[in-house]
Amino acid sequence: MDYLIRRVSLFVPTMLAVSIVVFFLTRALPGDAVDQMLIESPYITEVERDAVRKQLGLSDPLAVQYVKWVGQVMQGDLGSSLFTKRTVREELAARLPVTGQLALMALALSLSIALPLGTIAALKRDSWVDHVARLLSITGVSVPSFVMGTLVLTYLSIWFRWIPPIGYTPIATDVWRNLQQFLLPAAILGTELSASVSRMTRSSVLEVLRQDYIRTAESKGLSRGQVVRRHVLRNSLNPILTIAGLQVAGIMGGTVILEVLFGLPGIGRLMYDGILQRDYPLVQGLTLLAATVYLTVNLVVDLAYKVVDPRIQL
Amino acid sequence: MTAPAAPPLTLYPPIEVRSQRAWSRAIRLARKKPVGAVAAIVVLTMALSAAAAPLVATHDPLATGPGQQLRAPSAEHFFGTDKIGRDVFSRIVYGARVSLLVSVTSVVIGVTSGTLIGATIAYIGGILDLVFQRLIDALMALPGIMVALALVSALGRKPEFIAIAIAIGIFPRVVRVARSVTLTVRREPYVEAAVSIGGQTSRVVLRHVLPNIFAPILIVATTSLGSAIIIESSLGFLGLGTQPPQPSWGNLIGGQARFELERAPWLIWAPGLAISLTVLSYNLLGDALRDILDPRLRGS
Repeated sequence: MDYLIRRVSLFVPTMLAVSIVVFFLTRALPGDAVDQMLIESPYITEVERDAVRKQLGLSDPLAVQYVKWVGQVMQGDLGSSLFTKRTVREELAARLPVTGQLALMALALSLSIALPLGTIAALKRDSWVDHVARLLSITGVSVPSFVMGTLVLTYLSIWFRWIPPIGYTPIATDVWRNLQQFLLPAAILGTELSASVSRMTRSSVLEVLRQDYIRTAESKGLSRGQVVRRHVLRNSLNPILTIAGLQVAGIMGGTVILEVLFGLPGIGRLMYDGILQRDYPLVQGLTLLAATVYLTVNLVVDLAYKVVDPRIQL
Repeated sequence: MTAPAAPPLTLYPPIEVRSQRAWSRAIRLARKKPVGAVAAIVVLTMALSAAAAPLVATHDPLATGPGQQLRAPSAEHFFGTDKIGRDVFSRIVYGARVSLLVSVTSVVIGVTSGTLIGATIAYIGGILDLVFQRLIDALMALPGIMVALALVSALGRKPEFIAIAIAIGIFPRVVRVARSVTLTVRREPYVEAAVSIGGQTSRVVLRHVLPNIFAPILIVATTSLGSAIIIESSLGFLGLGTQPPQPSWGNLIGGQARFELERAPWLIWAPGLAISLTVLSYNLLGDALRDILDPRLRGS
């Protein structure tokens, strides 16, 4: 219980720190949105620019702007995009299903590759399976997703004259078309993520195999399969969960590249466009979202330890 | 932070003997860790050919070749030519200059600042430690590529700004490692001894703590080099890296090249190979260093 309170109460100051970092990162930099908005009209005078700044609240001191912004965010108001004039919340809501599907598919794929591969590599330590798994995972983290994505798109087009259908079709509208659009980016992101999960699985399983209770289980005559299923896997889940939680930031970053490359209109693409246009209410909203998702997932992971491992006293 | 130089009059053997030993030690390590040794050779070769780019490159990386557009790889053009007839091999060699320099600079910035801050907050502790820990958590929660994109688009696409933007992603990871190992080292008897004879905090941190947390920091630094290259080239790919026509590994793949790939797939696999091989070597080297320097992690 003590741990529960401590862990949850850490969330608040960390979110506060996130808001400070996000705010100053996006706003305390040279070249503001007004310059960018009026880039098409270079003959506008500095006086007129100042009027626009005042209207947007950009001429207040930074600290004042920060407090105002946090106040609004607390009420669920993330402001409006400087360019589309729609609220950041509307923009997010429209894009979230795309990124959500991509992230979930990638995560599912990553775990379904990494868990068996890592476990087998540990059980058959120093066998060829182990070496191949190690090579695959280290190659997985070494080939950047934009290289992998471009390669796959190029050679599919050369060999099979096939490219994924352009744009985004919701899965409810046309399952097949939707899968054609999502399978490749999800596979690329998923294999990339599976690299570190499978390594963590391997070392976690190895660690558990050294424990006394495994020897006990073996000496009371359980078969190898029973030992693995009943004792090894359950006990090695904790570190695996942790690393999967920590990957949320990687998923968020990965979607920027893959959504741009595969033309998917998700959060990552929105972020990219927002950054190019210096649409900082949008960029602030999105980075805040990314950080909140990351922190929440990791909070849930920490709390889930209790479920996975009853020995841990929360 | 290098270890303090050996005092002149000591029991150390003369310099020649020591350097011979260093050699035989290196050879012994290479025998034990052949993969790491190969990786080290690849890394060195890349760095040397980037430094000596004018000697290694077969063509001027910016010179267009009329009538030489989109030539397939040949003895004349190892990796073919691009849409306006520039030699891809030479562009990769020159691109390595930018990409390696930016990534090494970013790692130096991130690792130096991260180590100093991590060691300091762990050593001093208290409220300072708590505040910094929350800030580090916050930085960790932000995807590195997003932060780098935002910073580069705001500051501009100069190599030094790109390096700083990448360093911000490396920094929190280094702080965490430095902090946790410092917490262990702090309780060691030799640190206690240094404090008890009245050593100043700054002196104790510089002379006793930093040299002893060097190994884990070196491991993080090596693997950070790999991720720095990935972020640098991703920025280039997204059009926010080094300004064309100056080649960098990322902008060779992004930009205009994308529309010619079906006719000229070497435009993607050649630079892709350079990037992946470099990152792979850094990762393998990091693995080997981890095995050598940190026996506790051996085999994991």
